[in-house]
Amino acid sequence: MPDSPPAPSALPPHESDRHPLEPPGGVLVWMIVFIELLTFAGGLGVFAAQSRAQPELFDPGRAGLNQPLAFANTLILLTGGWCMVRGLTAIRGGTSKNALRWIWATIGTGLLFSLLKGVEYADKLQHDLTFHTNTFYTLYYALTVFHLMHVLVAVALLCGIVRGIHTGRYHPGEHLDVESSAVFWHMCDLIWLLVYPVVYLL
Amino acid sequence: MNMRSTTVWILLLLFTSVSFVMGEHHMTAAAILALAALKFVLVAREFMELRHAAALWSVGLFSLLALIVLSLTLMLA
Repeated sequence: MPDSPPAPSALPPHESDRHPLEPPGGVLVWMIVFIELLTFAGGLGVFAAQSRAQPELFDPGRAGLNQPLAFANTLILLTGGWCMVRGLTAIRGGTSKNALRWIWATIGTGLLFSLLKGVEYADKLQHDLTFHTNTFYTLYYALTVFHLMHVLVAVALLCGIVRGIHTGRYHPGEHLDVESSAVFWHMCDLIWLLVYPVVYLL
Repeated sequence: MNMRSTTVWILLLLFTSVSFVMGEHHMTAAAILALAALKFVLVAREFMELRHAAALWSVGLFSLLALIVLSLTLMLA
């Protein structure tokens, strides 16, 4: 695995060669960010509306959710975001080994999040609380499983990034894919920061 | 850069802890969603590096955030 010497300085994004209007990671991934946020906003809107229309379902449903687990999962995802930032900084600085450690840590948080979601769902299913139980659980599963799918896609993208670092594809002069994958990862954070309060806290 | 991102991370953990307590005490939707919006802005500006990008991306994203949060607040109030 090539490990290039540290660059004289890691270029801040705004000083790179990108077009002045191009966002970090590129336009395509930001289009995905906006589309996904709009999609989840629609789902959360339906959840909120049904919550008002059927409090007899939503109040006990929400009370039965595992609050400490959801809180822990939020901390885990945010920690993954921090690890991703550190990994991207390391790539820009030319320290591939550091970048790998941080990106593996990010992948680890994604897998831990997924594991805990599995524990959460297993508990619900053991009590026969399925997608078809009532409106609350239909929306709960729809929103959280859809979000989990995004986390798993982000993990897969980062696994591809790890492979690229190993082959020397990514370095201070070429790392747009790493930036794009980082943006996708953080998008999962953004979505969860809205899902968590609406589904679990309110 | 690392000090800054670490500071933001710690703030996010702190704000999440506060929001957990707010949920336990059944505080208003407006308060809980306002805190969620603050965390959203921190992730977008600092982790996603929007503070380095052209203003139109921040304006677009935070306008969308405001619309989402205001709509949800009105629906859940």
